[in-house]
Amino acid sequence: MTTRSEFVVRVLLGVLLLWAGGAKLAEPKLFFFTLLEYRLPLPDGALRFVAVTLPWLELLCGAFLVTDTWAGSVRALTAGLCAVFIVATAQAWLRGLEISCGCFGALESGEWGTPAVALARAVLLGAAAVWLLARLGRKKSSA
Amino acid sequence: MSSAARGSNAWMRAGLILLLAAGLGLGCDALRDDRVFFRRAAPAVRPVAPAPGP
Repeated sequence: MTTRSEFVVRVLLGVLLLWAGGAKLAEPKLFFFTLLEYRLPLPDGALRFVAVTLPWLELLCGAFLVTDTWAGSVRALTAGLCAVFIVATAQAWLRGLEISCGCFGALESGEWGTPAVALARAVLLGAAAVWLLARLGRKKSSA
Repeated sequence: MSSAARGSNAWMRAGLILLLAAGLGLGCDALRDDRVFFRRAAPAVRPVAPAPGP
């Protein structure tokens, strides 16, 4: 794979994170109610904390990915973020919860928001983030 | 720079991003009318005295 494909994947992933973060940030209360529907074994305060900080984390990771700032840290954080999305959507899918994933705020509706589709999307994004991280490691070891 | 120092720098930067996200999130929530984390306490309801009997 070339440097150009790395650039395309990095910018696409960054723009998606910016979109997701911005959509959640526009309606934090709606995102909090969506988080409640996941029925995660977390206290109310922790879910509220996640509802207000996760959109900013997505925005920061997205902006830093697009500008390729602090590459190693941001790519690792993005991979971690995707791992959290995978766990959350996988448990919702396995438990048969009929919810809208809330990944892109109110902009998402219908089939695109179901846990199965959200899980597939999270796995794809996670694979892209891990690939970007591996590319960086390879670049550093060859330098 | 040694690889150990580079690694610790990367962790510090990741921690800084997490702290920044938490700070921005909590700060913006505190400034919003419809707060999620710093939700306002429910308005106190004054107890109503029972109506005097006949």
